[in-house]
Amino acid sequence: MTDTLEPADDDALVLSDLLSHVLDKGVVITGDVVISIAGIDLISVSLSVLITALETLERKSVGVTGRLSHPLGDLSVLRPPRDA
Amino acid sequence: MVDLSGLTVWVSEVATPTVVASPARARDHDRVVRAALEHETPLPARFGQVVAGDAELVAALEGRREALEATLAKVDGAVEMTVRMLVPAATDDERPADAPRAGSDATGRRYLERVAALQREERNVRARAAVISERVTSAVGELVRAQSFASAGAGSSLVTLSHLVPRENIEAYRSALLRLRREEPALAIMVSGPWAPYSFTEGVSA
Repeated sequence: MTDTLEPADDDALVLSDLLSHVLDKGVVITGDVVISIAGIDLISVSLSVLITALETLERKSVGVTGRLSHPLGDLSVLRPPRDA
Repeated sequence: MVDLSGLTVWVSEVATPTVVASPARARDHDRVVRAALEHETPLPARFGQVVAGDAELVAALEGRREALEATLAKVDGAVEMTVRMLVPAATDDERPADAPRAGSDATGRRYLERVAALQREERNVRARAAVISERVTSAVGELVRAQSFASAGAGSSLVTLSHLVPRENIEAYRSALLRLRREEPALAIMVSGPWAPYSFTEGVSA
């Protein structure tokens, strides 16, 4: 079966999803949150990864009927992050 | 942990007034939140907030105690599930011409026509996003307690729907989305979770 992601892509997706939650959402109790991100906008990068993955999935899904075992088509794909 | 008579806050000590975000630290942050989520539903804090000490933390939270307790009650027994989709591509009729450029041909009627076309496209993207969001909303129906919508910004095709799902409905929620995939095989959907309710804390934040 070819319509699966490589493990590295899978890891990147899980991480991107995590970053978009942890860095961009949640309770803010200090009025002036300052996050230094080492010169990289991790939120934007993570959203770009998610968009690319969805575009890939969209291309692969066209013409495929009822295939639910694709990692991204199944809820198990974006698993809770694995321990490092 | 810091105890506020009825509320417990999970904190860690840092040596600097600013925390540098990194994938490893984000994982660490989420690991703590996830540990709490195993027992009951916490309100996750956004990564990177630093206070001077326990006294400042207690003062900040006591000032929001009512909102904290109300929001905790709202999310009690539930988790967040996140659905991400792409807005379907525009048809040729909807697609605008090249983006307007400042420069030699950037003045006059042609420029204004391009701007108007881009604005139409923005409206079309929002309309298509609303349609696919409604499809998902209908699919999960009564299984969710609340929904939060977000797009990645102007010009982006990414739509994110976050749902507050009672724990007992998680499997039914997944099944409902799998049925939607079956019905709409060309609709690219990613679903993740369960998460702590990161998207349902708006009533508390400063």
